[in-house]
Amino acid sequence: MSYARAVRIDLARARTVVDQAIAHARSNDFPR
Amino acid sequence: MTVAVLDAARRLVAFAGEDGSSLLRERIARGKAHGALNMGMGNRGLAARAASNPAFVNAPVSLADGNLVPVPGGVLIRDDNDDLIGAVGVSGHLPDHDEACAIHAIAAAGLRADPGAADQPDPAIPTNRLGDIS
Repeated sequence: MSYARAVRIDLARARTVVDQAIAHARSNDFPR
Repeated sequence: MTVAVLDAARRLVAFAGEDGSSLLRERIARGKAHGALNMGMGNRGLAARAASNPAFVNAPVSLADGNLVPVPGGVLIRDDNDDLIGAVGVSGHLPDHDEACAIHAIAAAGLRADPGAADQPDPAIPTNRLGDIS
């Protein structure tokens, strides 16, 4: 277990997470 | 579906809300991610704590000014070294489905998802505390 430190997710990967979460919702026909 | 990604310092890094998402989804998604970071555990663990010990979660919800939504769909993001680098909050459907979207997305980005577990120990309490007394 580790806690918040001076490390962070990079912008490119953060955007990938957003896009992939929505893509997964769309592929499963979840409500918007 | 609405998705918010925060870094380890709880700053918003990326966000998107689909057309047609209800207005409160943005705050819920951010609150799920904030809560996971604030408490150091994924929201599945927080949800279990809220059910078994409401005071454990109710007080922090007030202290966090609502930035703690103890419902599955808030997932910690860890790197290859198991370091905490952020959290994602997803809101739009059933909590289990929100969580599934988050886990899928984190894996797709090449990172490790930490959704928490119902039987997860409190990270603030050292597991060897009793051993230290003796």
